[in-house]
Amino acid sequence: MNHSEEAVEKILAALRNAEAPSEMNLRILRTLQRQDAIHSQRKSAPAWLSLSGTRSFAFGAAFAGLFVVALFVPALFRMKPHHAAAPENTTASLQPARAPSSPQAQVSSAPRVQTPQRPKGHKTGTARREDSQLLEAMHAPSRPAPPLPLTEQEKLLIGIAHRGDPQQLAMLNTQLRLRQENEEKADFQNFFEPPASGEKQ
Amino acid sequence: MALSPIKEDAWSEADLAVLVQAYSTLLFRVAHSILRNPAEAEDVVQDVFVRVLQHRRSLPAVRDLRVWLVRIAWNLALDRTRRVRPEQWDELFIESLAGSNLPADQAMQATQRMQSVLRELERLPKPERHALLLSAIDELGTAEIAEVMGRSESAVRALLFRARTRLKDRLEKGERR
Repeated sequence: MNHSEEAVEKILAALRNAEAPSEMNLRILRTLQRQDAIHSQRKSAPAWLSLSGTRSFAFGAAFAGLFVVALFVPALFRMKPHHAAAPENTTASLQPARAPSSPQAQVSSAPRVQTPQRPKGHKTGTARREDSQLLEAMHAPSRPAPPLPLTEQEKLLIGIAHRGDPQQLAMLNTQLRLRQENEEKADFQNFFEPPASGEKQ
Repeated sequence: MALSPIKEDAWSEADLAVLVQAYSTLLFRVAHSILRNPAEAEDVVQDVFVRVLQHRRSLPAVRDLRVWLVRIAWNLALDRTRRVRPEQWDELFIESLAGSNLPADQAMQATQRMQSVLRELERLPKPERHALLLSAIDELGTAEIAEVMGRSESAVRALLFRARTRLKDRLEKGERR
């Protein structure tokens, strides 16, 4: 017998006499016990679910339900902005025009969310934009939105309030401003159009 | 069948424990002959008994439980070779065989020889390789090997003869080179 044959026999003998790892049987039995426990738990499930036909029917029904939901949810989302936009517009129209009665009121008024003006005649484009906006809103973290940047008028008002110039502050009061304007007008008229009696003098 | 016939609906944990005790070593050797790794072979044995547990109701219909179990182990081990190449364990396997009392140069030669044997074994045609590996397990006779492989006994004998001859020729050619 040459070396190669010896090597072959040695390998076959090693395969023949391979010893199973210690406690293999114990591990296998433990696994089987676990499997058996799982199996018996499944058995204790409702009988109607254990039937293969009803189970497949239940799965089918659940799948159909999911399919219907998946179909209708985007459609609902598309319809929602139209309904949601209407009350906002009505509230906006019902609100009285902002009268700058006091500077504090002007400053403390929260900035309003401006709904974008949609051009007519581009329904698919707008629908897609709405969808994307809704998706963004849906994925956005649920915390209050940051305030919008101030308008130029609001910035001017804040500037006046901070400087505290009494004349400028007084000008914000409509009645005072009107009185001031009337006085100025009267002065102007007095200067350029003196009364006829004075002219004669 | 070595065990007493098991009546329908009379399966218990004790029966399963007896089955594990009786066949685990044989199934381990069957899986190990293909995978050449003890951990992988143990996984296969475990899978076999899990399947037994799952199909315990159909067990009384099994004609020869021993061959049935060997066939499951064999198929599971073959299936595992698609994910785990047995060649990657060869080094460890050969290390476990190498004699520690040999001088370093001889030990190296022996290791190389065994490596080439395993390489050539893997290169054999599949039926020949399978017949040779199954024949290495003492507990299996030719009739049982034939049943596991789904061939006749004479075909298995022929495969075994061809496998040995081919392996010898190839190894000799390799030595001459």
